[in-house]
Amino acid sequence: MTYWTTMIVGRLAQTAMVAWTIVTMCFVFVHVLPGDTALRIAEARGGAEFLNVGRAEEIASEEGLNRPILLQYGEWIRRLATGDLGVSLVSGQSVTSELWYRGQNTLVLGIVGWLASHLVALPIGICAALRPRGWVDKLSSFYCVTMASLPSFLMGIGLISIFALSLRWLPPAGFRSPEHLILPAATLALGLSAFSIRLIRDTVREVNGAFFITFARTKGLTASMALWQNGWRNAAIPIVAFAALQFAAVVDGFIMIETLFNFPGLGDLLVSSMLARDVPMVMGAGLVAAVGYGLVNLAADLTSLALDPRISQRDQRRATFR
Amino acid sequence: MTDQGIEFQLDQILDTEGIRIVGPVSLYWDTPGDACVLIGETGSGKSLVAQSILGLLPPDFHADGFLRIEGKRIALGDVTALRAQWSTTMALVPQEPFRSLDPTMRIRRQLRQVKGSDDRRIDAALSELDLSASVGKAYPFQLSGGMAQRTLFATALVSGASLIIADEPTKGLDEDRAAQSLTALNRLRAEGRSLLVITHDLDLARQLDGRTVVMKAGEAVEAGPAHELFTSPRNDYSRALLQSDPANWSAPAPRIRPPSRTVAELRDVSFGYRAGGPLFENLSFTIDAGEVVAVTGQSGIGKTTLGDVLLGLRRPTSGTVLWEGTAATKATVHRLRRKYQKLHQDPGAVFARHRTIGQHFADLADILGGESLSLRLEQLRERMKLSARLMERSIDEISGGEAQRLALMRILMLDPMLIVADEPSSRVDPIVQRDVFELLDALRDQQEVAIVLISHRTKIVSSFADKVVRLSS
Amino acid sequence: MMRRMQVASIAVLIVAAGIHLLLPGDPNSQDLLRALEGPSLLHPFGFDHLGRDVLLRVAHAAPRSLGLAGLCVVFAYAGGLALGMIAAYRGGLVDAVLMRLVDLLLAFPGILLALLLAGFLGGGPGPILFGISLGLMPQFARLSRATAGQVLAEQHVEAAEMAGFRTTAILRRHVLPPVIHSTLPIGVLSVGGAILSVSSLGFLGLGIRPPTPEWGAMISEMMPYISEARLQLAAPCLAIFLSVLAFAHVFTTGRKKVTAGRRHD
Repeated sequence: MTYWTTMIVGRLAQTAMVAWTIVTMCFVFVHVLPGDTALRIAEARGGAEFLNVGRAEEIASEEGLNRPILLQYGEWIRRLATGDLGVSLVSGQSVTSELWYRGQNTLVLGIVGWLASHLVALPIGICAALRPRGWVDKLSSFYCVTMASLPSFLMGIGLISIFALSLRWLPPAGFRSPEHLILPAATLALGLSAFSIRLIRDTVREVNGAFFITFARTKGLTASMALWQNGWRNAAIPIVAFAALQFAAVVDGFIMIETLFNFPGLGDLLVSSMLARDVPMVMGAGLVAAVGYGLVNLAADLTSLALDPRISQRDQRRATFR
Repeated sequence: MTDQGIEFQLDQILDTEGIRIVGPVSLYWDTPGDACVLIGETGSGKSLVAQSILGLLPPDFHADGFLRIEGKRIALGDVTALRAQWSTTMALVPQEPFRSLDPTMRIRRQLRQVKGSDDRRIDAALSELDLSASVGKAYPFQLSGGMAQRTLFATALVSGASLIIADEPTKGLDEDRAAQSLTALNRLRAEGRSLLVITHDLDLARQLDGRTVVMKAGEAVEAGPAHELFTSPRNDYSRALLQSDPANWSAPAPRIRPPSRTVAELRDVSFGYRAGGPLFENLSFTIDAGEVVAVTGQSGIGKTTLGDVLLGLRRPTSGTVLWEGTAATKATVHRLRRKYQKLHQDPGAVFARHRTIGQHFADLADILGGESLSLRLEQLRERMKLSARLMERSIDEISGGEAQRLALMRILMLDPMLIVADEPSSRVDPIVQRDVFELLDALRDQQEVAIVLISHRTKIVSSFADKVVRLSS
Repeated sequence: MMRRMQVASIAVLIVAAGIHLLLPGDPNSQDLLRALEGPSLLHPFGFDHLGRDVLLRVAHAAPRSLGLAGLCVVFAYAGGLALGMIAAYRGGLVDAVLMRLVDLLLAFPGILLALLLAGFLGGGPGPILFGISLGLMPQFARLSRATAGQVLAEQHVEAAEMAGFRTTAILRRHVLPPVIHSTLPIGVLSVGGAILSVSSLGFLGLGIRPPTPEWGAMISEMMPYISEARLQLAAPCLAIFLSVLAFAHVFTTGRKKVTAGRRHD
């Protein structure tokens, strides 16, 4: 079991380091230009026409932006430790409740998009692997190369243009009904599948060509039985690891897709509060993204560990079996 | 020929371009338990013969001929019919156990995959091969190479096959484990299974004492019972092949050497890695100029490490290494570095594959100076009988024998006093192996170079060394 | 087939980078009367919401986007290679510290690091370059650390050390070539990824600031007019897509060559 604990502690420590880096980075960078921050908040709250230096200074003292940096930093860390993420500099609302609301939306979008991508990718990837140079293989590799060069927001623009504007089947933006989920989730799924199809195809092909499959066949198994009995676990190890990793890597997708579809999730929140220099909100959203990423990575490691006996039983000495 | 006999007639194997690369080869087994052995160098086509019987030739290769087994006559072109014989009449013992076993499945389940297996047969097969029942619970990565090899034999034993094809059953195994493989093969024969063994291990062929076929460049140059073939080979190539076997080397006349200066010395040297106990303790011996000291012992006992300690590549845990009478400290090692050299186990590995051989030799100008370099290079190249064309190639385009000579030549450029030769024979074909030893022999006689020979093969050692250091646990 | 694709990709990239030199006119000159005007022979992509020629803006954005992306990769590649080789050669504590740092950078999900850096430093080429390079570097460091570690354990390195060569000579002759060999294809491919990152930041409003023409920013500017001006929106999209595709194909060809070379083993 030592291997499990080492791995879990290692991942958690790493995530904590990232979280700390984000917290610190936010402070260091925002205090390079403190006056600018106050001006921007004033602009965000009252609009550009009411902007003046007096208002900015008012805000600066209200929000405590004039206090020494270390004091503000220390206070933020102290509050963080008690689980208080503070209030938004722009709206004055609690960061935690905003994150909670946005986080749920993002999670729904992520799970739907990720599941959809694998529902598509698994059958296509396996088909392509079992019939190399067949039409599924050729078509899917063309699809992969094309999709991999297509950033998610371009794909989203294409989908909006076709399904929302020309065909008028689906709403283009916002999140008021489950229908609003379809286009962003599809955008996410298409982008993800480009990578997972390729990996699934390569993995299944490699396992199918492995000599232990041939050797299993010389034991009297049919080709499909050998592939099923000796193949699935060997192929599942990298595929599952990659799938979990992909779920973590959708952060890019969230940021772009949510901004494009005006979807009230964490990514959209991160960008809009970054533009408004709303430090507590940026930090909160960044922290949730980083911690979520760390946890999903941990889950990916644990899954590989459960599937692959070579990792978990590495500690067992060879001498046991004589 | 009785109905129990097996007959194999291979007319030819054609490659993708329709060129004949192997054939004709004919083999027969009169009674159950007979063995046929194919011997020959790498690239002689012996593995392709085995693949043609099993219907496992690479795609687009084609074999003509037939196999008659258990009263059935199957054309070698009919891959489907050949594959239908798998496990029922034919079984394969492949050469690389860790590539052949499913890494994520326990051994017992893999044995259960054999057609017609049950727990009783599996237990019987495991115990027949000296494997404990707990091996069934292990994953392949938990087994040693020798044990994994034996589980492959168990697979064949569990099956009902009357013909078992074993591909290089001793490859990469040391003497003890090779002996275990031989035992396993003999048990299969005692069970009434006929064997086809593909090997470059002449010892194994001699001890199996079956019908032996010598292959060269795709053709069977000579065939006959092992005891006849090994004592009086008729074909020139078979004779050369058999003479290269260390067992047939004539023992050199005992040499009387005048006492000469000591090149290196170990005084009470011990070494152990941080994890685990000491590999060897309180070792003391001297090496004189022109002397051959052999270091022997099982694999994993620390022979290579001892060589590295002697060469100043590793610091001993205790004791002293002396070079020319002074302790091999950092400064001494730096000063005498090029005089103490190593002939690596895999000769090709000392040349980086992204550079040509010539570039490697040209690099030596850093150390030897530019003027003397080219002259010396020419002299040595001629002495080693190596063509100048080799200099333009990378190591991937060079044969094993040439690589061995080039590696030796590279060391000789540095004009060494001591060469540690690490298993100089393990990765090359017998004929090349013989060649290396003749070169080393000439070296010690003509240039008074001291040689430390690391080998697990006691036979080679006994015919060659002046002094033997045996490591044991 | 693959050769032709490679030639085509390189041609696309050269045309993209150079076309603005041939087109007359100022990409920032506005003519509000022509706002959102459709395509014509002289202006094949029409005009944007401020009446600027879209083709001209796309062409002028190309050298900036491609150059910035290329520079990001050059910095990240050089830095990563140096870090990886130092870590592999020195080993021990240096190795541990450098690789933990790399791990830390790797633990930042996707574009987040670049977004935070560019956002806080206020957009512009400098912060973008810094943020994206820092995000790309760890993969090169990891990869070159792994390859260098493997090569250093190979016997030709030991043999060279025993012959008495200087360390720098061994690193240069024996270690650097295989490290470059294993990392270069990914280096070329990541230029495509860097183009995406640059334009993503532009799209989010955190990259190069308008009115300077930049593909991502152009897309975000035109998004409110998506139903009226699809062609104008499609032009920068197409530019991004084609240039990333081009880099993907340079890579595929590179990789094919590598595998063909290995066949001699």
